Amino acid sequence: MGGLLRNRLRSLSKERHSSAEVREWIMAATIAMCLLFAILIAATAKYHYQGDVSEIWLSGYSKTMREGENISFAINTDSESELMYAVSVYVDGVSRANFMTTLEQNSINIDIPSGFKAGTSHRVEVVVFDTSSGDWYDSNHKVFYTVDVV
Amino acid sequence: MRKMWFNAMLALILLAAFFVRVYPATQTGLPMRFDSYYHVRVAELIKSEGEIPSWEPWPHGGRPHSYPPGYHLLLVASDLAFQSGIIDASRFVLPFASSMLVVAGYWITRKLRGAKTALMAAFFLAINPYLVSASYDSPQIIGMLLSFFAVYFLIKKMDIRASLLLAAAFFFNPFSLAIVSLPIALYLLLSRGFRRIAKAFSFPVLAAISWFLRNAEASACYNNWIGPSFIYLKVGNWINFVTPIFVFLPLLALGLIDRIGSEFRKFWAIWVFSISALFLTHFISPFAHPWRTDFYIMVGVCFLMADLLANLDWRKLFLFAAFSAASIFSLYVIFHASSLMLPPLMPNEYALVSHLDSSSYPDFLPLANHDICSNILTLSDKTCLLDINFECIPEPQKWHDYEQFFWAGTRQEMKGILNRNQEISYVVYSSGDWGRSYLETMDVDKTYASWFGSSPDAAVYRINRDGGNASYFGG
Repeated sequence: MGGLLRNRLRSLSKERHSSAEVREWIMAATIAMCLLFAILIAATAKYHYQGDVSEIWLSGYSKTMREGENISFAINTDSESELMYAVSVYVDGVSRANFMTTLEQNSINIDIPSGFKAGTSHRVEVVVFDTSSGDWYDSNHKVFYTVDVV
Repeated sequence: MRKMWFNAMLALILLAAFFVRVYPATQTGLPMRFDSYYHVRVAELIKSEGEIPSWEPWPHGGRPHSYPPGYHLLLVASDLAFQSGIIDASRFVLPFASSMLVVAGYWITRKLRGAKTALMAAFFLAINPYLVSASYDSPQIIGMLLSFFAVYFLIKKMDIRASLLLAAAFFFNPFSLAIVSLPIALYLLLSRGFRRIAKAFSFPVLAAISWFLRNAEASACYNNWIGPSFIYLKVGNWINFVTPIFVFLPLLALGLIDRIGSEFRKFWAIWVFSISALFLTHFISPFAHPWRTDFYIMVGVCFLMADLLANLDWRKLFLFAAFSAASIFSLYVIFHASSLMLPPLMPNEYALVSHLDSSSYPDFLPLANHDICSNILTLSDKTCLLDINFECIPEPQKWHDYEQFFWAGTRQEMKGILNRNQEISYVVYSSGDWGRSYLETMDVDKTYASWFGSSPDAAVYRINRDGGNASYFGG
């Protein structure tokens, strides 16, 4: 192979090549190089987002409750991440429960005293903080519902 | 160039054209662009009902079906031939057709201008970043493929054959027919071919009339003024940013012309000039913004540059190398520095759609942006109030409200939209939607949230209405 190449180069060096031929070679080399680059670009591109998806959703909550009844609902979670999250339950902006958990597929039942009075409306909020990165203001994740006390 | 080397170059061009278009489609389990989600639904409807529909059940309430059936029938045929399922067929048909554009470009150029120009045209078509990027979106690719052959027959003065191909292009994508009609009509006009114009457009006009007569109800609702205004809000900055490219390249190509010399060169010069002028109308009004005109400009630039640079002197060789390098750099940007080759939705948004599919929400009639809605309608059994296709909007004021909801400047405006449109029982937010802080001041329940990395939540909100109206939480 090496000998063949050497012989070819030797014969090329002896031949006289027109300027047009040299331009054609440069064109062909440009085309070949660009095509190889194009294939390389497509082969090495990322076609998926990299990272984990986390989900939370509420179930088992009631839109109305009686005075003196407990606030009762379930937080459902599903996550590809194994990180620990801080979860807080707020009622009208006041923290009423806190715990740490991963968000792997789970259903967490919440049952806390309300102390609500009849005729009032309240917002019950579940806020999830990513403790690994440190969530800054308003970059947390949350679900919430409102409840009317009858 | 020796024949063996020529054939090797051609094989490499076709291989690269095929690879850069089809390989990305193999890497994702879903179509790579939003429009496909609509076409998949239409094809599935045709497959299940065994006929071309005159009414489509999306978005909520349905609307007259207006899109000609060529592409949808091709998807059904591909599904039946390969047992792939419609959604997988939609992933591959367009990239494959886009690869065929390169083959067709080579063939017509070889016939009209010789092998060397054809090789260069195929090369430019193969690596043009805008053509590669447009390979996943719309059946305009197939319209363009048919138009290539129509152009060949027009230049050969076989007008009836050209006319038949243009009619076929109408059935795949009326937009592509509308765009290519401009340079074709100008070319024939400048050739004093008034009778040829009548011949060339006879079959496309007949095709359009027959389709509109069959779908008279849909013809009456061509009130497409909402789509451009809202899509322009999203892509306007991008359009303005890349406008210099779409002006500079045509100017460069036109500036290289020293003499017309051939019908081939004359045709593509007219093409580049007229479609660039059309593209610039987006400065006058977003309503006149020509969708995807960049694609058509680039097709013309590729052919014209190939024709102008094929007889290489040193100056043209330099231009050839510079144009090739710029194309490869732009290709790199599209694949590695933009999100154009990533799935249209974020993974958490797909999780949201999947959650909706598997959950039961009472009286679920959601408002989401048209991209999310289109995915909900295609990938779940739930309905939605918007859709990606703007061609036949049943109730323009409502549709405008639905779109404007995600661009509301104040919470009062948002509340007004909710109260004018009391059918909205839920709002589904993507991670990128604007205005959730306004919505959360109202009496709503946010029952679901998903996120991806540090993205904002994709979320489901239930609207709690008091006597039918939305209200602020806490009065």
